[in-house]
Amino acid sequence: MASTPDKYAKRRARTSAFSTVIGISLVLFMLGILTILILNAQKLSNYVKESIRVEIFLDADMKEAEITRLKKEIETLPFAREAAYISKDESAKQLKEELGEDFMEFLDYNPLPGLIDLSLNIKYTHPDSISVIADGLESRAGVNEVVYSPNLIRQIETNINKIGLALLAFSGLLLLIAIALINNTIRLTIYSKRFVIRSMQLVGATSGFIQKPFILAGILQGLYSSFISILLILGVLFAVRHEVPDFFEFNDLIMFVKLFSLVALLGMIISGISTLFAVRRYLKMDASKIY
Amino acid sequence: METIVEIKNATIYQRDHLVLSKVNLQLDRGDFVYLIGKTGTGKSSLLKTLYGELPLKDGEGRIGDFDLRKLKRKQVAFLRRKLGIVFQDFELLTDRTINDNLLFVLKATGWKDKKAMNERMQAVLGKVGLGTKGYKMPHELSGGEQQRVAIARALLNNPDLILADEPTGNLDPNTTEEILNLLNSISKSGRAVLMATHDYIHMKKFSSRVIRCEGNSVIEESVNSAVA
Repeated sequence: MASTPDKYAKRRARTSAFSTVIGISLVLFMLGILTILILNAQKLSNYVKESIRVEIFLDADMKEAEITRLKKEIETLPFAREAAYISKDESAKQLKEELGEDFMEFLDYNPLPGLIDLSLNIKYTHPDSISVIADGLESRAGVNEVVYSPNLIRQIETNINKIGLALLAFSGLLLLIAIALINNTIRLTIYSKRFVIRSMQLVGATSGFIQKPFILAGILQGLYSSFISILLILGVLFAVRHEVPDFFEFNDLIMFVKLFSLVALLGMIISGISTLFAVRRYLKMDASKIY
Repeated sequence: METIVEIKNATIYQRDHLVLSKVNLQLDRGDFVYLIGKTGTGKSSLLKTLYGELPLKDGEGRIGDFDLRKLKRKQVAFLRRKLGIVFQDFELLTDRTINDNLLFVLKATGWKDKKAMNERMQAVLGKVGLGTKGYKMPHELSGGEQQRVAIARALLNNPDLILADEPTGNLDPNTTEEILNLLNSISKSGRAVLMATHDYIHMKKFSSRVIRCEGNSVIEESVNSAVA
């Protein structure tokens, strides 16, 4: 015979556990989304860095064979990602398209030199490396001039750094908030159990024996929460993909496995440790203070 | 008679505040002792010292094999397993049934055998007359029944000493008498019972030792003089 107050007590306990789980999942959800943003910021920065170009203008009297050899040589260098040869004629064509009129008509000849358009490996896109690379290339035979825009590169570099730093600081802050929020939620739950903890001590249970079920429940709670938050994150990802198909790639499985393991691990660790601290607080508390 | 509790020349502090000094107390097997005194005279502090809640800083104190002066924090749990403690507000685990309350104590104190645990639980519940109510939650029982559960719980590990801190303070006169009878019969079964109380009327029922806390000291009295 289960009476009404019994049911009521059980329902109340369930509601409190449920709201704790929801609280933790929301915090983990925010952390997860932020991690995805950071990972994508990395991708964006790589994309920008990959588009940095160094233009190698060639001597006008260079022969095709020499050019091909130089291009091959440059391609084998460690910093080169891709090198494309753009001949005089092609340059002229491109410029014509850009200007919208035929400058050859009043010049009578093509003043543009042939050039090798070089893109760099990401590791070598720092402005300092580029200037060293440019100097090295310029000293080669057949190279007339090496052109790049140091200011633009520097600007990109500092902006990416700033954005990365801001994101990192923000996520650090969010992690702190997350820990504080979860800690608070759990402390409230344990607070409501302080008399139970006290009674357990009075009948001769050791601290370890009292702690164990609480901590296990805490870790389990963290695990449930991370499941919920992962579902939420997946929901958001699908929605975003629907709107912005290029935003990220779903086949990046390893990244998602890492991300979701991180969320689950964080959930369990924060929840478990918070429970431990909260329970120990009442285990050590003077009996007169718990009322 | 075997001595279970021996306190000599003890001073008891509640934090830095002196509560009782020059306390001498001896409890033997079979003793049923009332501890009386106005509120704030140190009855609870004396009991707290006995169950390891307050450290004994001055004098000598021994309960069974435990030296209260040398008692470390980690040993407190083990001291309490040798005692049964009964409180005015029962201190039951309100989140589980009576059976689970008892089961928790058995598991916490190192019992492993399921059958033995069930037998022990039935034995103590039978002793307090609640053999059929083990499946209930604490809040489904009356105050007197809850206190009897607390007494059953105190008996689980066959303690030599039962400490009761105003166990009848929340109960009506009839129930009070039941609880007193129960505690008295427990002392007759070869344990010592030390019971703090305000209930002078019911004290007359059993001729027993009375200890009074008054003006920072503990005085041994006879029943009659105490009640008069």
